[in-house]
Amino acid sequence: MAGNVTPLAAIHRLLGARFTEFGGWEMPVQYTGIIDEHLAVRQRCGLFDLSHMGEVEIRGPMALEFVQEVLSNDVLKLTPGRVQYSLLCNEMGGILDDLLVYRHQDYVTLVVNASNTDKDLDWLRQVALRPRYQGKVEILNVGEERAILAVQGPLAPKVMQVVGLDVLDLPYMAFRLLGRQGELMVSRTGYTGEVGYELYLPAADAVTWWERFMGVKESIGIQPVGLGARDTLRLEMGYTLYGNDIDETTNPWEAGIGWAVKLDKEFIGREALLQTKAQGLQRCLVGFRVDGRGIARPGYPVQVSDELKGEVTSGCISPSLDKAIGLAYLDHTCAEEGTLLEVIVRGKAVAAQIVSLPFVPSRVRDVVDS
Amino acid sequence: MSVPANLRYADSHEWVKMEDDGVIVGVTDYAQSEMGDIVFAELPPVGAEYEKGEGMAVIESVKAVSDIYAPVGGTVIAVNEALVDSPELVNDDCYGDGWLVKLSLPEKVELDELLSPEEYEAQIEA
Repeated sequence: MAGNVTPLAAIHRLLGARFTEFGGWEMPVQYTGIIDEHLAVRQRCGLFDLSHMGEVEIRGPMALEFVQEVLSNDVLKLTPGRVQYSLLCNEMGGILDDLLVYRHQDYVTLVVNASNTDKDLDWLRQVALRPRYQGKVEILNVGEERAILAVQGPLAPKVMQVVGLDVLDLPYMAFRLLGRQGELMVSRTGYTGEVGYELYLPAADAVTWWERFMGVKESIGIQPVGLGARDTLRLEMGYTLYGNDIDETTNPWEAGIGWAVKLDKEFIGREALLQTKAQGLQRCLVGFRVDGRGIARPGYPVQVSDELKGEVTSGCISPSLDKAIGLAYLDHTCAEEGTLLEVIVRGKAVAAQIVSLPFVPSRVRDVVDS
Repeated sequence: MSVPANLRYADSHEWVKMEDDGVIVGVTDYAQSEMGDIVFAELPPVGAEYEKGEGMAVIESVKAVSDIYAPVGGTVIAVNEALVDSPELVNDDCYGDGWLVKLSLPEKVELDELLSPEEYEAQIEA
């Protein structure tokens, strides 16, 4: 399925974007340069096309019960208009995907990773075949007729105000339906660590909204940002990325996302995860900063006092810190903050140390003046 | 993309400049542009010997690692120390201050195998 393009592909090309294949989609990886785009989001505002991400609606009289059974977090604690991070697990407790749950009055929207959309849909439809859900749950793949934009950075609230989107009172992890028919879903969410918003809209409106946002380029300062900077921004926050830091074999507690697993409710994978939790942590996902000369990359071995203790899962240069940073799974006995590490870069040991996450202070909950 | 007429090229996107006592090697405008923001350069020690096509340096952008291959065989007689602190010189001036390595004079036959500016231009346009 490689080669899916978003409704904004022609605009990206005109803006001089460089493209990359991601999750079966041709997506802009950068426009002016990853560092420039990264710093723009930290200092001003960035506009992202995230239309590759999957959007699945769960409807029907048993939608909520269904979601409660397939997801690890407690969706009953979620009031309409709120967003929750959750894991989709199989019976073995393997993480099929990590996703956002949007609870509406009488249905639920799941926003899933592009590379997992087909797998997630297969699994959700399989569970929906169980007798108790027959005729009572509908799984709708709405992603193909929708586009997703993100507006992220300290000036994002100002941008939203100027384009006429009434969202400044939204707290973090809340959303609202806007537009004449409520066709525009806007949430105060993001993957950058900044104050920001994500917009889910009909694909036919994508160009109009993109141009409306780019229209404030001169007055406020907003610029397009590709997936390259999206990755460096999320890594500075220590946010995990499915496919890098998480996969079907991941123990959620080892990955630091155990808070999204509520063992006091019934859900698919709970039995297996109870056992996993009881076994304790063998390894831990930690953040580290490289102090020597070199950049840690996924797959590089990590040593403590000359002994192999783990492996890097994400790594890049942090444009904010101008230092190499990364995430690595380390043996639980040496996962303490301050532990000195050696990352093996092309056969050479490079000094690094475990630091607390996030690498850069998160501003997602900053209060917005309306 | 700039492809200076006074240089020769390898199909792995290095350029070669002839001097009296050796050849200067760097990466082309096309290569630096494809890599994006360059944030790290690992250069070989002076005195190291490489055969044509052997990896002799590594350049890293924010997200990717790229090997730089010896476009001709030779001994390293100088490296661009300025890249240690300012790897972005490769982006800013890839044919000048962003040069990588100086190799001893290679065999004439290897020089003749390099691409002309026209041939290289045709390759990157393909």
